[in-house]
Amino acid sequence: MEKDKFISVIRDNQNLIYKICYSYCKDADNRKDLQQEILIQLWNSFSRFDGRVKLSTWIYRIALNTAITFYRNDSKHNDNKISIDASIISLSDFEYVPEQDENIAMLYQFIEKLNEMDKALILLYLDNNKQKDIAEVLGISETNVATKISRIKKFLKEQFSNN
Amino acid sequence: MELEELKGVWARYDKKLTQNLKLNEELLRKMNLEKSKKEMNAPLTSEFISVTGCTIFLLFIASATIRYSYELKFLIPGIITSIIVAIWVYNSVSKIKLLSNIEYYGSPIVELQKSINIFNHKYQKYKKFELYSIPFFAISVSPILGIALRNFDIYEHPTRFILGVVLGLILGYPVTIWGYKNLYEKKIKNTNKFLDELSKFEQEE
Repeated sequence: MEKDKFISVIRDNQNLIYKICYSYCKDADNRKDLQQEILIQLWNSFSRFDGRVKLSTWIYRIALNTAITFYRNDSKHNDNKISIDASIISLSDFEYVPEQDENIAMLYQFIEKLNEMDKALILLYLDNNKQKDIAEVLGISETNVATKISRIKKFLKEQFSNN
Repeated sequence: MELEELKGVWARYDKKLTQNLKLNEELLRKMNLEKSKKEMNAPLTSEFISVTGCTIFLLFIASATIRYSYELKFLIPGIITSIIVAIWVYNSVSKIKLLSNIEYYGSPIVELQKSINIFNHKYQKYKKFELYSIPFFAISVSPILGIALRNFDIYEHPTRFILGVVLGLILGYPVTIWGYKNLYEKKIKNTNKFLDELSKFEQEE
């Protein structure tokens, strides 16, 4: 019963998990492992979710934290993982390939250049989260979020003028 | 392109993902999530085993040291070994404390990453001590262990003892230093760098 509820939560938030994995992992195999790791962490904490924060805040926190830790792990291997061949969240067979979309490819290229923490910030921003929610997920002040966003905007302008 | 425009591109991308992403429910159900829950506690279990093992060993060495305390040649190595093992126990207890205090599922990203990296920093520091103390431990434990376990006085065989000390210091230390440099030094630098980045990220600009 709990697993059914969990699967339903994952189904509703699969875009978010997919985008986080894509932003933190270039390699497809690592991406599959990261996806699995995020799902394991979400499941481990599922029973502890008490509704004190929004469901999306909870998912963002766990998924981004797992992605940052995974990204910083040199070996990219974790004994917690169970060996499976296929991706749990994947694009359907008549595929829409994000890399073939010029704007998306460019955006991912831009995200790739940011450090782990700025990546988390920009993903939350692009997903249209309010500054208050971004601050809550990251654990920094709203003013700090605003300052960092304007700094990233500046950086982005430079990037595009260089291209 | 401005960041605001990219938000629009991102929203269209999100829509396309909604249409194209599929969740493999069967695979998700098949994943042994309960098993992974237990495996998550592996580092903590390993530290508990280490504390238990080292404490039993410490008690054994301490009692042997007391038993042979009338002879300085056993008392001194006994005390040195006990101090080294006691520090190992203390380090393991500190690691357990740090691990237990990490709130994996309720903390904001900066806070959790800080806790994880402070733990990593301390873990690597403790590992450094453990590695560097191994040759010393090997030298100091042999007289007391020999006499306590097999009633074998290593000092009656000075060649063996000197050979052990020489091997421990001349061979043991270069190997330890090499091991530390290759296994931990880079990790410590990376951890410290990331902790600095986190502090800067936390500070208002």
